[in-house]
Formats: sequence, structure tokens, C-alpha cells
Amino acid sequence: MTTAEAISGKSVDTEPVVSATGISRRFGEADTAVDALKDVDIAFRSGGFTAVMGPSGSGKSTLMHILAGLDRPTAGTVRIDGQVITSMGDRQLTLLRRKKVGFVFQFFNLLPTLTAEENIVLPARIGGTKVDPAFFSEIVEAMGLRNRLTHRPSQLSGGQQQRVAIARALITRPAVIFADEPTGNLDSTASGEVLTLLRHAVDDFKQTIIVVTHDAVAAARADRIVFLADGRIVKDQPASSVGEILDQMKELR
Amino acid sequence: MIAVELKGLASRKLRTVLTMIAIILGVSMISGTYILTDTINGSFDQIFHQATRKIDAVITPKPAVSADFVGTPTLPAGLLPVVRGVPGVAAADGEIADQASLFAGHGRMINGRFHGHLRRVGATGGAPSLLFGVGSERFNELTLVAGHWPVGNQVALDESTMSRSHLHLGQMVEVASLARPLEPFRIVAKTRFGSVGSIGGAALIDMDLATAQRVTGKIGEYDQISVISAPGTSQKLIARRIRSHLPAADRSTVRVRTGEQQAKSQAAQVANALNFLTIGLLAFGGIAVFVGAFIIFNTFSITVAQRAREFALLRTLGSTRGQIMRSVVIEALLIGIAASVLGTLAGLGIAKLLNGLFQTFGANLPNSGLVVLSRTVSVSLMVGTAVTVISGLMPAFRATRVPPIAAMREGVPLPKGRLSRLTPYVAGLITLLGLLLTILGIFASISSTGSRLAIIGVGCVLLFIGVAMLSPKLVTPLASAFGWPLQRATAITGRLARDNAMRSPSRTAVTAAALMIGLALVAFVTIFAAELKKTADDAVSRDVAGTFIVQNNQSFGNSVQPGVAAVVSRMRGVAIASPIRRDVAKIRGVGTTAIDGIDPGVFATLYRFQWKVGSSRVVPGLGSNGALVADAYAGSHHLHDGSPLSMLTPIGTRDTFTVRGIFKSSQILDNVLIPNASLVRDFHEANSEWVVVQAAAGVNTGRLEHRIARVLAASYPTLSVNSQQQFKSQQDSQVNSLLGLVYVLLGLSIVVSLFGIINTLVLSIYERTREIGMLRAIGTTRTQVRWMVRWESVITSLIGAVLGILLGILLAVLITVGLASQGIEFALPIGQLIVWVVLAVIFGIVAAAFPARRAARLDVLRALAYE
Ligand SMILES: Nc1ncnc2c1ncn2[C@@H]1O[C@H](COP(=O)(O)OP(=O)(O)OP(=O)(O)O)[C@@H](O)[C@H]1O
Ligand SMILES: [Mg+2]
Repeated sequence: MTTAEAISGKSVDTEPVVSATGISRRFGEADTAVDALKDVDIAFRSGGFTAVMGPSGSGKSTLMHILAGLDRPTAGTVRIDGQVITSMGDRQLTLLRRKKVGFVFQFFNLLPTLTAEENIVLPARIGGTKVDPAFFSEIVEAMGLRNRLTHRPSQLSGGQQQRVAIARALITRPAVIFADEPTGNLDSTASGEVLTLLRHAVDDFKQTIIVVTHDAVAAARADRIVFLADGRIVKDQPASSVGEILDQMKELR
Repeated sequence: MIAVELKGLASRKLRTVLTMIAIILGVSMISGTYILTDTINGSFDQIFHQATRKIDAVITPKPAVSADFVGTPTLPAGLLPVVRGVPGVAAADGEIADQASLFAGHGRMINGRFHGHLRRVGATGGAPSLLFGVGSERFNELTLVAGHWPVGNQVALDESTMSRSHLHLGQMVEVASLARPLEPFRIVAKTRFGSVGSIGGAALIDMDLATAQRVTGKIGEYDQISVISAPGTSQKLIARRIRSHLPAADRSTVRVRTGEQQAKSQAAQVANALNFLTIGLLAFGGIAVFVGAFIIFNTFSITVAQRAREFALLRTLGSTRGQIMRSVVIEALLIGIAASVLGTLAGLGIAKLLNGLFQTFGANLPNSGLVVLSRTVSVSLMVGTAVTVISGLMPAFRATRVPPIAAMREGVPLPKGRLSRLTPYVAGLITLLGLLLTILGIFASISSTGSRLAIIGVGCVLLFIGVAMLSPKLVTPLASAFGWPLQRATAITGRLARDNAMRSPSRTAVTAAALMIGLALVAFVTIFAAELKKTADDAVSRDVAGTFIVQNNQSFGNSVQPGVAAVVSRMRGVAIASPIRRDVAKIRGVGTTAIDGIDPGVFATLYRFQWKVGSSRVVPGLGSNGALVADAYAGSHHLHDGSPLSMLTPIGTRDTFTVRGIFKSSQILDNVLIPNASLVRDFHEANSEWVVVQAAAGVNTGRLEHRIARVLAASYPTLSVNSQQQFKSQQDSQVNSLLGLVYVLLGLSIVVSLFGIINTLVLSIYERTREIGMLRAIGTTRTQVRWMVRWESVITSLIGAVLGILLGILLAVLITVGLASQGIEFALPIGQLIVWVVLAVIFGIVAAAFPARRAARLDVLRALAYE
């Protein structure tokens, strides 16, 4: 075991944090049915930064929703941290998401009535658990939000809002964080910052992060890139350069 | 244009329906009130026409003074030969029509005393039965269905009473009149009342005339003489002739009408009495519509805000402000018309419900076949539509202020109107004006009660609107206060609910204001009823020294039979039994007033009155023409010791009494007291309001009460003997049942505000779809989402309840001060008010049920993908 693994308490060689076997997802019925995912197998090990890429409509969001327990596959099984989530009821799933899953959304989705600080600790408060002040401090410091804590979302820039959202995802030390186009609504500077922070979360906090993105620059920061096309995984490769990624994207189109 | 609006409404079905319900309820109350009272009027018309169908002229007593708490005088039997002697009179006969109670017994009469169990039968809903005796069958409106006309101790009963009470021919029943003890009769016939069948569900007891006269204590008297004229003599002519043939002495105390006039005048009397009911019920309908107006206003305001982008887009595409305004107003108009039509129809159901409600509270009103007049339809439609459109005007105007640029950006707030700066001042002014009008209505000397109430009503409407306009400023502090314990008690739901309630203060304020109105009125009547009870109860403890009070619990107004005091006073263990007789007189230079008859010799023993002039020692020496008056009454009519009171009594006697003492006003007795003997002499009043009983020294009062109760049950089953405590609770229960009725009627407005809360929550949740989706994604359970919505609803309800209760207290204090001279004492039933607050919390949870469910069921993915 590496030191990092020892600290995060997770083992690389044993079970993956998130895994899916044979998942399919069909929307609609009969002649209007759309198969968004077709028999997908995929696993994510702890502490990795994965980018999911693919053309529009290829099933990236659908895959992420199913992996995160927000949607159910038509067939197949999903495990998070060893637990099969595809057979769970809504309440169990919700509690699992609360403990094991973090989210970063394209539209930030902060509560406008809460301050940045309150938004960050929101998941802990929903679960009725205490936030470790040292950990909170560490995250706030890492996200560069120290002097924005009392601001409300409307008083923050898009990049700042997204940093609050990342802090919110980190605060419960989830097994995995999902981010669907987290930079989709940001300019390139803010995007860069956000990606740096996500990278940082993986490296320093040993977080497992799965990011859906269209942005080759973003994908280039990942440890692993998964390409989807027409509901199937067409490529699953380690980190790559921006140029290479762009080429691959073109190929898929 | 309208097609576009209809499509818009259809796409916002839920909100359209919820908005419509707010108006439907109020309108249905208005239409239901009209339908009910028109139906009752119509039925009475029918009954009265039926009753005078064969009759050309009717002679009835004309009381010189009248009041609804005293019976009418009678006609002397000697009048009948006079009438029969009038040329053109083909037939004339006297008749008796009086109240009575009917009992069926499981037991037997032994030695003139009934042993066993009596059950009151006949009329439904506590209404008294009617006892008839007609001289000749020609005049009888009852037709025989089975059996033969009764003679002596026999009765005929109407068939519906017989079947309802499971009575059969040949069975014995007991009849209790207002004059005599219980008497057994055998049922020998089954009857029907003309073509109507029955008179509003009352039991119709028919006896031969002589028996009816005896039983009702009217030997040698009639209640009415009916005349049939010879062929060729018109109704008008015969009536005129009879009038001219009347002995001079009877002219002022007797009234002659044609059959038609009689029917019309009786119908008019009923209509007049019902007018009060109509206005009262319309007021409750009006309150519900008023509350509905708040909900319309709120829904349109929220909708306009949510559609800001749509309006902006229309503006960029070239729509004028006028077109935008028109589109919103047309939407309001369509909702108003549709809701009013449905409300008017629902009035049919409300009329039935109201009728059932009155029956539950003991009032029995005849009705057959609902009557819907065109007035009902037009008023209901107009009120509903007008209120909806007027409530929609302000939001429509705000829609025109959306700048075209709003189409380009997200979440551009509606620009504030140029006048919005002035809003708090305007609100303050309206509040002040409302308060002033209310105070004016209460304290100014206005002779007509109607205009007094109208001024108070307008004042309250303004007060409510003013406070509603001011309340957005109160929402933030109140929501923080009410939200604080929730925030402490819950992990996060309370906090989010509190924030949500405060997010749009005016939205929350208007929603709460709708509930505030209902609760202000509820709190007011709660307090006022508590004051009435306290005042009456205190008066009993303070002013009555007697041990028991015997009274008739089944009908009011001098309904204790003449012999009761004598029967009770002869009982072992009873020291005194003394009646209070109540009647009415017109005092020259003073006005018409209720008069109570007392027994001067024992008055000081039975009552503990306080004296302003004279003392209890003057009472035994009142003589035959002495009077006692209450101080407040004496003050306002400038009466003092020795003042002469020239009284005109209902039977037309004039007699002068002299003030011998002035006592402190009491809620127990009326303002003018004279000796019972004088009352019998000048008013011919033999019945009494109640009988006060003093137990002999050393007697076990519990056992004595039991013995009196037994004697009463056997001979006067309509009476009951009450200790002071029971008497108080008897009074209280009368107030309570009226209070119950008012609560139910106010409940309608509260239901309307319930829909207001539901609507606001649904619209707010719709706005917060994404937030709820995010919360669910990051681990908020459905239960938590539900509680978040519920707590918001509870906070809104609490704001409404607390503001409402405070306003209710304010109104109650004002009214109490205004009525202080009438002896009303202030009371603050804290416990009951707290109950209302607790109910408001439950109300909030109930209102949230549907919105909370919707919020919890939200599809997380769709919520996140939204837009
Ligand atoms: N709720 C739904 N109902 C019907 N079809 C759906 C639904 N959600 C997704 N789809 C379909 O499934 C397919 C995959 O959709 P998905 O949103 O996963 O694509 P994506 O890769 O995330 O695309 P994008 O890059 O545009 O976000 C698409 O064809 C889409 O139309
Ligand atoms: Mg997508």
C-alpha cells in the first residue's frame, strides 16, 4: 500500500470504488425507444481522475446518472464502495448518495438563500453530521474561498460559485465525486481554475473524481479518459495530450 | 386572442384550478345563501297560501305592543257571534293554533302520574310541534288520511310525524302545552296538511276546538276567527263589512284581513325575519370572497413574475403594454367567469349543506324544491367575476412594466413601479383609516344598527387590506422568530423552510394575510363569546341568591307553564318558588321595553341586587303600581325615584306605574320590574320565563333537585331544574352553539385561505425545481423535502394566525369598550387562542400535504435538466 492509500483508507488493489457491469438504459418504448447505453462495463478505482468524453447524445450524462444512483439502468448492476445500488430503494439510495457520492453541476446549483459557507456544509447538515473544522478550513483554503464565506451565491462570480460547489462535494469525503460538464458554464480562465482544483482534490485529498466533459483541455488533466459513442465505450485510455484528445474526438464524430 | 389565453390557462391547469377554487367557494356561499332563503320563503308562501286557500277573511288579535319574546294575545270568544251576524258572512268559526310538545311514553299513567320513560317525538331538530283546534271542519286545512276527527282526549297527527316517530293509530301520546301539565291523548287519525303535506317538518297535532282551548289555556278565547263569505261577496267587501261591525272596544285590538292579505302579510313577516339570516350568511360569503381576492391577487402576481421572460419576449416582438395588460386581464376574466359559474352551481349544494347545518344547530326551516331566482345567478356571477378581475388588475399592470431586455437575461426582477416607494405610506394610511372607521362605527352615536355594522365592516376590510400591505415588512422578523425553533429542532429542513418563507416577503405576506382575515374573525368571536359567557355567568353568581332555576330548555320566551311555581312551592323542602314573568310594554316618552314581573315579598331573598336609589326594603312595599328600574336605563331615559311610567300593554291596557327604586343593571332581569300580580292584571301574562326556587334551610339540595326533577318529568317534561351552576352552563351552551355555527361559517374563509397556501407553495416549488433536484441529488431524503415544504407552510400559517389573533384581540377590545355600558366584561380566553395557534400549525401541515408530495416526488434528473 502506498502512503496515500494508507491515509485514505482505501485499497487500490481490492474492489473498485464504482463499478458497472452490463448496464443498458433504454428511454421510451417501442418504436420511439432510444438506447442511451448498451451493455456497458466499467470500473473506477479509488483516487483517480477520470474524464468521460463523447459526442452529444452518446450517453455520457446517462452513464453518470446511473453510476451516481440518480437513475436506474434497464439492465445491469452498479456497485458503489462494494454495495450493489441498482437494487436499492429510493431512501437507501438517497442515504448512499448522501454519504458516498458528491456532485458538481454545470449550473452550480447553490442555494441562493444560503451563504457560501452554509452551502459548503449543506450536505453535512442534511445528514445531521458535524463538520470537522480543520477539514473545512483545509478545503476552504484549497478552494481559495476564505474571504468569500459570508457571501451569497448572487454575490459570487461563476468560477467562485463552482469552487463553492466543489467544496460542497468534498466536505463529506465521499467515495466518489461526479461532475457533469463542470466547466460548461465558465470562461477559460475560470475553467482552468476549476480543473486545477479538481486535480488538487484528487492529488491532495485522494478523492475519486469522474468528470463528463466536452472540453479537451479539461480531459487532458485527467488520469484516464473514457470515450463513449452511441451508448458504448469505444475507448478507455490513460491520460493523453490535448491534441491527441481532439483528434480522437474528431474520429468519433 | 381569447384562444391564446385559453391555451395559456390550459397549460397551467393546476394553478388555474386552485385559483378558481378560491373564488368558487365564496361565490357558492353567496349563491347558496340566496337559494336557501328563497327556498324557505317560497315554502312559507306555499304554506300560508294553503292555509288561507278557502278563507275569505281572517280576524286576528292586534297586539298594541309586540316583541318576539312574548306570545300574541287572543280574541274573546264573544267576538264570534258578532262576526257571524255580519251580512254576507256565510260561515265563521274560531280556531286555536299554538305551540306544544308531543311525547310518546314507554310507561303508564298511574293515579294521574306518569311512570316510565318519555321520549319526545314529532318535530325534527328541536322545533316545537303545532297544536290546532278548529271549530268546524270546513276551516280545517288538514285532511284526513285515516281514522276519524278527534273528540275530547283524542288527537290527529300528520302522517309524516307518525311514520318518522313510529306512531300508530290507537296509540297513546302525551301532549305538553305551554299552559297545562302533560296530558294523555289517543291517536285516532292520520292527517295531511293541504297539498304541501307538512309545515317544515313540524308535528301537527289536531284536537277538537274545545279541547284545544282547554289544553292551551285559552278557554273562551280564540287565536283566530276565519270567515267564508256568501257567494257574490268579495274578500275585500266582507273584510270591510266585518271591520265596520266590530264593537268599538275591539277595533284597536283586532285586525281584519282578507284571506289573501293574511297570506301575504304572514309571508312578508317570515321574509322579514329571514332577511337577517340572508344578510348574515351573505356576510360570511362576502368574507370568503374577500379572502379569495387575496389569493387571486397573489397567484396572478406570482404567475406574472414567473412569466416575465415570456412578456419580455412578446414586447421585443412588438406587443404594446396595452396588449400585455389585456392578455392578463382577459385571463383573469376567463378564470372569474368560469369560477363564478361553477360557484353559482355549487350554491345548490351549499344551500343543502346550510340547511343541514341549521338543523344540527337546532333550527328547523321548511324547504321543498330549491328555488333559484335570476337575482341569485346575476349577483353571484357578477361578484365572482368582478372580484377576480379587480384582483388581477394590479398584477396585470405590473406585467406591463417588464422591460423587453428581460427576454435576454435570466432572472431579471420585475422593475418596481414608480409608486412603490409610497406603498408603506399608503398601507399605513389605509390601516389608519380602517381603524378610525371601525372605532367610529363602534363609538359614534348611530341610531341604525345596520349602518353601524356597515361602517364597522368597511373599517375592518380596510384594516385587513392595510395590515396585509404592511405585513411584508413583518414577514422577515416573524419568519425568523417562528423559524428559529424549527431551525434548532431540525437538521436543515427548518432552516431552508425559514429561508424560503422569507425569500419573497410579499408573497408570503399575502398568503398569510388570507388566513389572517379568517383567524382575526375567529379570534374575535372566540373572545366575544367568552365575554358573553363570563358576563352572564358572573351575573348569575352575583345577582341570584336562589338555589335552583326551573326553565324550559326546549323553547324560549315565557314558556314555563302557569301552575309550575305553585306545584314546586308546595313540595317538601322548598321554601320559595317564585316566577319571573316577562312581557313588553310601550312606556310613554320612553319607548318600547321588556318588563319583568317579580314577587315583591320574596324578591330580596331570591336576588342579590345592588341599589342606586332605595334598597331591597322598598321592594315588598311596591304595592300594585310600583316599579323598579335599572340605573343605566334610568340614566339614559331621565327616570328617577317617583317618575311615572305610563305603560301600554300588548292587550291594549294603559296603566301608570311609579318608580320606587333604581337598581344596578343586571344581566339577569330586564330594565323595568313590576309585581307579578300587576303583570297578570295588565298584560294577561300567565306564563313565566323561569321559576327561581329557594330550598328550605338544612335541606339536602342534591336530593331536593332530584325530587323536583322527578315531579317536572312527570307533568312538565319540557322543563328542567337547574342549579346555578347548571343554569350557567345552560346559558353557556346557548352561546356555544351559536359560536359553533359562526365557526363553521368562518371555516369557509379558512378553507379558501388553505387553497391560497397550497397555490403559493405549488408555484414556489415549481420555481425551485432545480434546487430541490440538487438537494435530492446530494442526499436529501423525500421525507426531508416534505418537511421542508411543511415547515414553510407552518411558518406562513403562523404568521397569518398570529397577525390574525392580534387583530382579533384589537377588535374585541374595541367592541368591549364600546359595549361596556351594557355590562359586557372583558375576557381573554388565552387557552382557546392558543388552541387556534396550534390548529394553525396543523392547518399549515395539512395545506402542505399536496405541495409537499409534489416536491418529494420530483424527478431528480428532470429537475436538474430543467431548462
Ligand atoms: N429522459 C430521457 N428520455 C428520453 N430520451 C433520453 C432521456 N435522457 C436522455 N435521452 C436520450 O439518451 C441519449 C443519451 O443522452 P445523454 O444525455 O446521456 O447524452 P450526453 O452524452 O450527455 O449528451 P450531451 O453531450 O449533449 O449532454 C440521447 O439520445 C438522448 O436523447
Ligand atoms: Mg450530457
